[in-house]
Amino acid sequence: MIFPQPPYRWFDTAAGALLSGDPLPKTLRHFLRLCCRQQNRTLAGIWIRHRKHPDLEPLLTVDSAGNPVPAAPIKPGSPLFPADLATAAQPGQCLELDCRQPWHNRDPAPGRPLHCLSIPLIAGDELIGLLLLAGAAADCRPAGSNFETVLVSRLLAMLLRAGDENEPAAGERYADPWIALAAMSAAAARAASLEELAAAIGMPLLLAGFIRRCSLEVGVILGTPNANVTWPPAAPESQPCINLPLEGAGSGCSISFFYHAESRWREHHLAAILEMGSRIAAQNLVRLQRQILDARQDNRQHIHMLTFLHQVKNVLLTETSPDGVVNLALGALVCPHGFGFDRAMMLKLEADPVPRLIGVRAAVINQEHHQRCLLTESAAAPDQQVPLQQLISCLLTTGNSAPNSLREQVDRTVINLPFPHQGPLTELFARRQPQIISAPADYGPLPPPLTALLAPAGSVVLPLTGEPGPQGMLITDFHRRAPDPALLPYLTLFADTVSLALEQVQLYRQESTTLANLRTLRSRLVHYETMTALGEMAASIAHEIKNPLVSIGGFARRLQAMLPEKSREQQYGAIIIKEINRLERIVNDILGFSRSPSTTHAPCRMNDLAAEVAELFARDAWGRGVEVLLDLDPDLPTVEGDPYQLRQVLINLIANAIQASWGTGGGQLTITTACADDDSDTVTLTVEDTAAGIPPEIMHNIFNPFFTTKDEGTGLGLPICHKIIMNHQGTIQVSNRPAGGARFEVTLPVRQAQQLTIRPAADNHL
Amino acid sequence: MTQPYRILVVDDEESIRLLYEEELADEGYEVQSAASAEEALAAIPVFKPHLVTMDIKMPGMSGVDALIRIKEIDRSIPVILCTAYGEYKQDFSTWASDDYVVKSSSLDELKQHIQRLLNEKPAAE
Repeated sequence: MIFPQPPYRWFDTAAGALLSGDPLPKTLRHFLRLCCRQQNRTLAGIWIRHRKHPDLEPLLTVDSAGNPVPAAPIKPGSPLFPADLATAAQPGQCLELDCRQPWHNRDPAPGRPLHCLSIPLIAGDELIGLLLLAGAAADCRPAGSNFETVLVSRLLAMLLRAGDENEPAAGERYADPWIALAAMSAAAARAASLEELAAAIGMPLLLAGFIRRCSLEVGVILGTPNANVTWPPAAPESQPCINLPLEGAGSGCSISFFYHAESRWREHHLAAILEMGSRIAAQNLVRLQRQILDARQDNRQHIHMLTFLHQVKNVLLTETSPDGVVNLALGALVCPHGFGFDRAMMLKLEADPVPRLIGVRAAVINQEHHQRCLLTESAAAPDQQVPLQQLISCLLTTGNSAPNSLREQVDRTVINLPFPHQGPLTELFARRQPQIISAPADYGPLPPPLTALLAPAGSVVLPLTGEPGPQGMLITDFHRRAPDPALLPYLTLFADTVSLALEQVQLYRQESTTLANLRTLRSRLVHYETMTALGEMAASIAHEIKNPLVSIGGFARRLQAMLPEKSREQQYGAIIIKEINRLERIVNDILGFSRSPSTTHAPCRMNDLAAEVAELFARDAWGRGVEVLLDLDPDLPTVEGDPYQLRQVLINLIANAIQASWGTGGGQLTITTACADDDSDTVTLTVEDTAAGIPPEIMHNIFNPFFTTKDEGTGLGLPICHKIIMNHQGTIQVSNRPAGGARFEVTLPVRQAQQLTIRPAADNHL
Repeated sequence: MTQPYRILVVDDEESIRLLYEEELADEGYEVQSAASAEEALAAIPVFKPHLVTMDIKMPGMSGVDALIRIKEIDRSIPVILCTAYGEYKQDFSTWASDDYVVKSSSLDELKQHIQRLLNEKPAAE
C-alpha cells in the first residue's frame, strides 16, 4: 500500500488529544469531541468489549459539545457488531451504515437519515471495542483515508489497553524493540545532555537493532527540549515525518520517523510505529499518574509526620519531670497518629555505682485504649485537634500500659558498660543515629539482655545522646513486622528532641535545687538577722533596766535590814528583793545571749570546771532532793577554750537538770567526762538526769531562743549553751534516756583549729 | 588606830553612787564618789583612794579611758570595772583593770573582790 501523503489532520488532532498526558476520562472526552468536530458528526462514543462478556459496553459517549450522552450496550449480531468482527477484524476495516442504534434514547439527527461510522479498536490481534461516530447522513464528512483511520484507532486502542499490560520481565526488555524504544524514551526525557543520553541508553545501537529487526528503512530524529539527535547522522532535510511525543505532552521530547533514501512507508510499519508510540505514551501516562499519586501521598505523610514531631517537641520541651519525658517519648512511639509502633522501651544510662544501661519503662499499644483514643478524637469538633498530651495520656493510663511480662523484662534489664565488644551498640552511640537491628545474630555479639528485648522481625534502636554525652536509648518495634526504614529520618529528629528534653529536665532539676538552697539560705539569713536585731533591741532595753534594778534592789536590801525582824514590812521587803533578783536574772540572760561571742583561748580543765559547778549547785541540789554524781575521766586532756563560757554552759545544763528533777520529786544528776571513743581528738561532757525527759514534740525547739516550758524561764539558757559550743567548734546533742530523763552530750575538740572569732553564721538556730 | 581604806566610787548614776557609798561605808571603808571620769581624775590626787570602782559607760570620758589615765597616775591603785555589761568580762585583763564585776543589787561579790584586792595591798596609811 502506498503511504498517502500528509497532512493527516484528523490523526494530528486525535493524537494530540490522546497523548496529552491528562487523566484518561478527560483525555477520552476531549478526543471524542475532536472526532465529532473533525468528522462533522453529532455524537461519538467508545464501546469496550470485556473478555468474559459478549456485549460491548459503552465506556464514554458524548455529543459534539463534549457532554455525556446515555447509550446502550451493543449486542453481538447487531449491524454495528457483526458476528465475524470479533475474529476477523482488521485495522482500518470500517463500517458505514444507516443506523439509529445504540443511541435509541436520543436521536442524533431527528427526522433525517442517520449515518454511523463504526471503527473497530484492535490491540495486537484482539478486538477490544468500537469507536462509533454518528450524524445526519447528509452532513457527514467522508471518513478520510483508511490509513488515517487506522492510525487513530490503533493509537486509541493502545491507550485503552496500556493500563492492563504488565511490564515485561527485565531480561526481555531489549529483545522487544518497542520496549527498547520505550526505555529509550524514558531515558531521553531524563537526560540532561545528548552525550548523557547516548551513553545512558546506547541509542544508536538500539535504534540500529530496531530498524534491522523491523526491516525498516527509516531514520529517526530524537528531539529533546534542547536539541535534536538524528539517526542516521545524515538526515534528509525535507523528508515528511511522523512525530511521536514522548513522556506525555510535557517533556518536550519526541521521536520523528522519516523516509530514508527512496524507501516508502508501508502501512504495517506505520501501524507498528504508532502502536509503539501509543504504548510509550500510555505507559508514561500511567507511570506519571502513579508518580504524582505517590508524591502526593509521600508529601501528605511527610507533612503529617513533621506536624506530629512538632507537636511532640512542644509537649516534650515543656515537661519538667524525667518520668514525664519518658512517658511522653514512649507514648509518641506507640501513638497510632504518630510512629504507630506496637512496643517501645526506654533504657537509661546510669553512672553510679558503675556505668550501665538499666531498663526504665515499657509501653505497648493497647487496643482498648486505642479505641477510646479514637472515640475521643471523633467526639471533638472537626476543626479542633485533640491535644497530643491528652492523646498520649489516653494511651498510657497510670503507668500500666505494658503487659506485666514485658514490664518485668524491661525492669530486669541491666547492661553494664563499657560494652565488652566493639559491636553495633558501641557504633550506635558513636554515630548518634537510630538503627534498625533486624537480625541480632548478624550484628555481632550484642549484650544478651539487649538481644532479649529486640523483636524477631527487627527493632529500631535510638541512642539518646545529648551535649553531656550518652543518656540512654529507646527501643521500639512492630513486634511482628519489620520497621520501615523510611521512618529513620523522623526517628533521628525524635531522638534529638527526647535527648534535649532529658537534658533540659536535668538542668531544670539542678536549677530547682540551687533555687531551693538559696531560698533556705535566705530564710536562715532573714531569721538570723531578725534574731540579731531582736537580741540587740533586747540588750539595749535590758541595759537600761539593769541600772535602776541595781539601785532598787540594793536599797531594798538596805531597807529590809533596817526593818524589824519577822515584821510584815520585812516580809514585803523580802518579796521585793526576790522579784528584783528574778528580774536581774532575766536581764542577765538577755544580755548574755545577745552579746557578741568574743571567745578567748585558754587551757580548760573540764573536770575542774565540772567539779566547781557541781560544788556551786551542791547545796541547791541537796535542798531539792537531787543527788549530784560525778564520773570524771582522770585522763581527760585539757581543752582549748574559754573557761568563762564553758562554765556558763555547765551552769545552764546543771541548773536545768536540777530544776527538772525537782519538778519530779528529786532524783539523780550525773556529770560525766570522757575521751572520745574514736581518734577524733575530742572530749565529751554529759549531763544526765532522771526526771521526766523532754517531750519529743518540743525536742526540735529547745535550742531556739526564747523557747521555754518553764514559768519563770527566759528561754535563753540552752540557746546560749548551743551558741557557745558552736563557737568552740563542738557539738551539743540532746536525747531522752531509755530509762527516763534527759541527756545532754557536749563534744569539744581538744584543740581549736583556728583563732576563734565571731562566727554567728555557723549557728543553725539563729 | 588603823586608818580605813579609801575607796573612790565612779558612776554617773546618782542612786548607784549613793548605794555604793552607804554599803561600802557600812563595811568600814571611807568612801567618796565621783559622777564622771573627769571628776574622778581630779579627785584622785586629793582623796588618794586605795581602790577605785569604775563604771564603764559614762557621759564624757569612758570608764576604760579613765582606767588608763589612773594607771598612768598611779599604777598601784587597784581599779575594779563595775558595769551592767557582762560581755566585757573576758577582756578586763587586757584593759589593765584589776578586776571586773557585773553590777548587781547584791553587792556581796563586789565586796569580796574589794576585800581580796585590798588584802593584797599594805595596810592603809
